[in-house]
Amino acid sequence: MASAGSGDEKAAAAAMITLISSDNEKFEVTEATATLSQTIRHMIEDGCTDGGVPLPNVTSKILARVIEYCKKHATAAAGEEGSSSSFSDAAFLEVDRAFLEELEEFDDAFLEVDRATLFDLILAANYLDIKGLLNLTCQKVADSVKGKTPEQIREMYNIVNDLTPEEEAEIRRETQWAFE
Amino acid sequence: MGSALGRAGRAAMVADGVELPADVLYEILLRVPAKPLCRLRLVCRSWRSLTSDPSFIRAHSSHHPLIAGLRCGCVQSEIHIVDMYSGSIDKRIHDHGTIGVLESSLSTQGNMVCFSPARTRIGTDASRLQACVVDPATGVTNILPIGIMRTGLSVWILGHVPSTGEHKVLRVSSGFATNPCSCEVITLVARPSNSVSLDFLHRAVIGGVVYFLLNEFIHDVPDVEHDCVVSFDLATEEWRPMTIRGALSTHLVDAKLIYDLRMMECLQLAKLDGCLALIHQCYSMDLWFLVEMNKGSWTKRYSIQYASHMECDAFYRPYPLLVLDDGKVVVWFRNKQVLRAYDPRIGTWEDMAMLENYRSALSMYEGSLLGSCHQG
Repeated sequence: MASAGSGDEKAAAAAMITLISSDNEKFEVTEATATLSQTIRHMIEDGCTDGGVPLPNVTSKILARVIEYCKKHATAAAGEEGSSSSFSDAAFLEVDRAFLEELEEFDDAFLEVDRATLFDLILAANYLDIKGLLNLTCQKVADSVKGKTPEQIREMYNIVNDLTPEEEAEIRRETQWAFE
Repeated sequence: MGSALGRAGRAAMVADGVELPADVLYEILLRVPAKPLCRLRLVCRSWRSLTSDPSFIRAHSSHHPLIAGLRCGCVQSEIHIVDMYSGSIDKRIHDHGTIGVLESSLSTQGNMVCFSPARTRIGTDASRLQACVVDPATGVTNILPIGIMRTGLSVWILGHVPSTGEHKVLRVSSGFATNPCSCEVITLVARPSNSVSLDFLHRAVIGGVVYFLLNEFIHDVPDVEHDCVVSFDLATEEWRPMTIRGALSTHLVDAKLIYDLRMMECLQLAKLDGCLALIHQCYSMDLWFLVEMNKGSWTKRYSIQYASHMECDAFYRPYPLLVLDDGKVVVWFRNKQVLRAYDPRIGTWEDMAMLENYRSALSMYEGSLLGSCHQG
């Protein structure tokens, strides 16, 4: 896949990793991009990435999105390292600020997906252990959950209410302040 | 995918054919603020048990820093527990009469909040004149004994003695100090403490020791450095004999200048990152951390630049509250009543939450509203 920015170009000479989705599609990514995933980082450290990394839990559709996220954020990580030496340089700070804003916009746009895709992304982020992506996607679900009633949640997520009326009364009593 | 959290069973959210295992549900619920989360315990048993688990409650606390704020109104005043990120009020405590602006004090320790209502209000019955210690999660209230001090401006400072696990309240008045415990009265008359500042921006409680800046109106004591720190040991219930030299004095700033800074409210104390911090501000904010208590050596860890000079209101100086896990420093801008996070790596500010009407007192709250999970 094409390299996205200056951070990637630097790393382009370095090793490329092949990721293989559940439907057997192959994705070539730089090591810098791949190692945003702790799971893959460990595989690289253990030297078991020759011949590609099979990811039987992740479809090509979702893996493409995950890689898109990692590429963007790997560039950010590389940028941060590069600029730390010129800490006091105002011009560099401006670049960083602009980039952070761009990253935020990217994240917002990235989350514009349907619920099933969002859940698939969470599962992939969890399996691949990508902290930033897991945080981003879980926060999105948490934000949608927090304004809903227990009935709405049960309906949305096919959950059966197995609480007895006594238990429900107990919950209300325990944290009465939350129901006021 | 199987459940990683045995305790939560196979509980999962299923949406459009995608099933989320319990460990992912854990990650999601961790990001829901306390109040809606308590309501969502009604969803089903597994949601309830997941969110009542002590390890979950601890993790939730670190995800959602809480602030206790004293909100003073004309008719009624309240203590609010506020979510730092959203600014939403999770819990109100207001069953102890009117809290006066000048006479009131607020302090927090672990899951407890200590506050004192107004000393004088016509028609207020005697029991309401006392300070109390409240656990906001359970509502359990301990009314403190009056003690022997009945006159003068006083503040009540709650602390925790690590060696014994006790909570103690230090009452410092402009006259002298008494020291009652929350359950039994331990009254002692300490040495006159009119030398310490009663302002909540001028003290910090760390590891069972209460640190104070001196009262700015000390002129008659020779050679006193106005950035020095005095301390009260809650375990021994005594003022500690040693005065800690301030960060500015130890770095050769002129004593007259330090006095001027003190008079202009440019110096503050805070607990940051578990350390005692001396804050020095003028057009920027320098945070000095007391790194070696015994040697009294201070290190300047942060030098925070304001977005504009207007931010540093001489009447309501900004005050740092917390260093976040990602290294950002949360600063309370009392003039604009807003919380902002400063990123020291790139020098940027971002708004966090509006905090209106807590100018009289505000403190980090380290407990959890989800229930008791641990002590101290």
